[in-house]
Amino acid sequence: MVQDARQRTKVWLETYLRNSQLTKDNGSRQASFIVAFDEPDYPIIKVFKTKGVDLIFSIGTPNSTPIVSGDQVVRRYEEHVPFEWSCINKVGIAGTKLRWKATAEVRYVGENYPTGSQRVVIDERPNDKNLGSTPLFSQKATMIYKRDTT
Amino acid sequence: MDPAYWGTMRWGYFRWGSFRDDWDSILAVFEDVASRDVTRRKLVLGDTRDSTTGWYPKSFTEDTVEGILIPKTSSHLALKAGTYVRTDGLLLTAAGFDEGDEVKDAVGNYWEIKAVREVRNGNSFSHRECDLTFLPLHELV
Repeated sequence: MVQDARQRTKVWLETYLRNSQLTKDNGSRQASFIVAFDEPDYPIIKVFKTKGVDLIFSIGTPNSTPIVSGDQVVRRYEEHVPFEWSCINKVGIAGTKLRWKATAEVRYVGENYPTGSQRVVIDERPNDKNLGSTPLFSQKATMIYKRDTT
Repeated sequence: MDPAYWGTMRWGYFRWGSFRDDWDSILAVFEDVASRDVTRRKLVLGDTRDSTTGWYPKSFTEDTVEGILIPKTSSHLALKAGTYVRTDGLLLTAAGFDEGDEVKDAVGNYWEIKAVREVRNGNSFSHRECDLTFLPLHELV
């Protein structure tokens, strides 16, 4: 079975994100982060409150476009995978600072590991939300990559 | 410790710990409601994340707590407590609830907690108002 584009993106991020760069405010203690599919069936705030997670990279459902060759056969797919990274203010963590560290790290991964599937990260933009009791500092982007049919 | 816990430990007219006069006055308003107990289902996230989705496994711990569940169709009841029903239903309770927790009512329907607001009289805790979403397909998931 063809692998889910979200799964490929999750593995790509988990492989290349550098723990050493995603740190708390003091710059030495590492922030805890996870990479997961978007829209879990529980509130995201529960993860921040009960699982000791400081930063979440979440991957949305992609749009896909078939790429048809001259002989009218689908040879590849272009996947547009939305993903975002989110954090909140915690003791020792200013959410807005950690969000920027994560943004810089996503750029680093996009700039340095585009090969394999010719990945490009585009359309990076802020996506802050108010969760009522706390602001959610969030940034989102779309990753484009081409894959073959297998 | 939740004040409601101590409030329920009574010996006759004597009560242990903190008092719940504000909450008791709310309960008194609903004296004629058939059931003033609901099943609280506290959401617990497990430790081992799914290898594909990265999600935490969900489970629930159940206990019975005092609470008045008012469906949207019975909004007039909420007015008696000086509030209104914003979503599918409203739960008035002194027990602790968080977003994502569930409630099972006396007839076996399931509801999900979408928001929790504490009601206070001055500095004194009275009760919580929880916005609920009805889960008609709960048995399937």
